[in-house]
Amino acid sequence: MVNKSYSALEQGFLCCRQCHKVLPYQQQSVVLCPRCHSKVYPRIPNSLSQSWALLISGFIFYIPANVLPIMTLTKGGAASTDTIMSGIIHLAHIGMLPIASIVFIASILVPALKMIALAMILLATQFKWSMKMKTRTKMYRMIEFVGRWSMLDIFVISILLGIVQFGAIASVDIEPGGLLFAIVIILTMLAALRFDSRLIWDDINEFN
Amino acid sequence: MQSTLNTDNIEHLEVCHECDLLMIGTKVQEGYVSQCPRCGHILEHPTRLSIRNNFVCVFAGLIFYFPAVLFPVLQLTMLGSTESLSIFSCVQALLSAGNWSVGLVLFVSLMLVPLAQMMLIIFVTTRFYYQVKSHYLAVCFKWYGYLNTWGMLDIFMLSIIVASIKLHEDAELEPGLGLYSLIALLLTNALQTQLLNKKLVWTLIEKHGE
Repeated sequence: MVNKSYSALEQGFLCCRQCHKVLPYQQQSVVLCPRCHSKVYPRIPNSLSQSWALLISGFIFYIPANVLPIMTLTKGGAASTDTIMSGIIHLAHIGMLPIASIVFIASILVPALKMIALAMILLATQFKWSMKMKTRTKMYRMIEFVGRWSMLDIFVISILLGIVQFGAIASVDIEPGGLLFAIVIILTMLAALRFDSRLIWDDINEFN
Repeated sequence: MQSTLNTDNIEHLEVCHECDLLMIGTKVQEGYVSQCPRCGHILEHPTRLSIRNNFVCVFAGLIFYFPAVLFPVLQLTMLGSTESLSIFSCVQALLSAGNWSVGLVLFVSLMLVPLAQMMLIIFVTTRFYYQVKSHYLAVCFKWYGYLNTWGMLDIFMLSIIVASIKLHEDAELEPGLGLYSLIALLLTNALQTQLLNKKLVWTLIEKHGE
């Protein structure tokens, strides 16, 4: 890029995050948006630290969520517990490879990749790595879009619990791993929400 | 990109809220999309009769919502006995089995958020249509935005498919009326979010919301 691009903040303008109204900014401490009455900050305060905190707690929960069983299926007196991975392997064994891969992508690959990618974006923003801004923005958008789909496994075990109610013949119980997994997904979704994507572009003029 | 930017008239300025790029706003024609030149974020996509079509879509969605939640989505026959499952009974089963935390997640993401979003959009669009002024317009539309990521009916749809494949080896499955309503609800919701022109809504809120 030859020309310098103008950040609204440098030029003395603020953009309301909720309603996108452009407001003048003269270094006041609190700006109230006249249109949607929410507080407008130049950038989300403590965006990076909040995002880090949520991401790290999500990562801590991620390990037990994958190791602990998520559900127990009792069929004809015999109980079998499943972790996320063993459920996927079972699906692949009965010949449902496409579905098994969907579940694998949604509940193992996506959460892990999402946390790594978000950590990379946070590191790159914090330490001003020369990672391409467009790439970072694209990654961030992917994270935001794809994050909710990891809830798939929670819904599947809930459906199984809801539908298999034959008392003595079969029953399904949700184990602690299921709840932990839901917590991981919600925490990482919040981490992505708390990150202010405008921070990515703030040091654009330093590299050119 | 211009080398100098005339910042005298704040009404003409536009800021990309994803990358904070300051631009001179242009009027976008219906059916066209304006994109941020720097980060590629879609700034506006106006459609014809956006407000009215939104109301129609959400109203249709509201009609489908109750059967989608209350009627069985799946019917399962196993060893001669039949069970049916609706979203509501699924939440109920979770709560009565003592899994109140997972039950709460399902209740919020499958029942509460979709309904709340539709009610908020109906409130906002009817206020516009009848030209009624209201203080609550801004709050309502703001909450609509907050709730956007937390409705998960589309994911539930995929999980129905996964669950039925897990079950179909030892039980007979049949789709219920709730499943068709759920599909209809998802289609109307997708159409509604596609047609929603947030920028137009906010300018109208500025006009109607005292």
